Amino acid sequence: MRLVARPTQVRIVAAIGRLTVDHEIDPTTPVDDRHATPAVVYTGQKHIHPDSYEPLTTYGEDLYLGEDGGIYLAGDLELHHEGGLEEELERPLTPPPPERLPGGEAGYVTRALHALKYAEWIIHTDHAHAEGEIDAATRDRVQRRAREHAQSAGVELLVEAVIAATKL
Amino acid sequence: MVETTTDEDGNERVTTRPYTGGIEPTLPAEAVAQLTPAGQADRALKYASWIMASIEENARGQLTTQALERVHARAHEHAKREGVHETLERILASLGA
Repeated sequence: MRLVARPTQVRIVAAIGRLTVDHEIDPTTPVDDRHATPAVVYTGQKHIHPDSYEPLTTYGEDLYLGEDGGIYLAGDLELHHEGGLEEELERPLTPPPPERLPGGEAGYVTRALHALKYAEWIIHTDHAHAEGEIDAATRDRVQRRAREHAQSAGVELLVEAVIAATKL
Repeated sequence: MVETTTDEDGNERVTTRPYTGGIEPTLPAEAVAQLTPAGQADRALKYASWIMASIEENARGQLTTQALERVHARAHEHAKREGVHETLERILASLGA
């Protein structure tokens, strides 16, 4: 999965290097010693950096620190398998859709919170796009993911109801 | 809220009392005035999330009922201040809350 041009990778690797230093991660330590099951590994020419222990995310998408100090959505990162500069990621960076949430009264609040989260992804990206913070492709990607996740969790109707409630 | 006073002899007295000075705005007034419709919806969603999350935490025993009520009151106050209270109410109704 190649998502950015090679020159962009250089910039990203530099940012990851800085993250590695900032978080006092020893880049020479085998990844498996730091994390039992590294989900995703960013690889560069000098450093190997496992995906965050608890990744910072927004809209369900990982973030990375840019060379300019800004924080960006990682949807356009080029990622590789651990240790393989040429080996490309086989699965998406973003987390898989959630399991279907339990029904019934007991799971009501959990379902509502998930619905709010996905509605927020959709509405917030509309807002962010209107403000020029993200481009249309990013907005569309996030909104598509929000609806996929909502459907997987079984809260798609709730999400649409929440969105409709904001537009009256 | 903690208030510290010092008497003539230099002895300090610390008094703790509930904060009654109103809410701290989470968004500057000028930003509130410039909110787009999507931005307003976003703010209302934020406060709906406060309310629903606090209900969940209360049900799990992680939040006292007093704290729950405080969070709810604050969420509604913020929403009113930002002019998104009606939207917040509609969102909560859409969730059956």
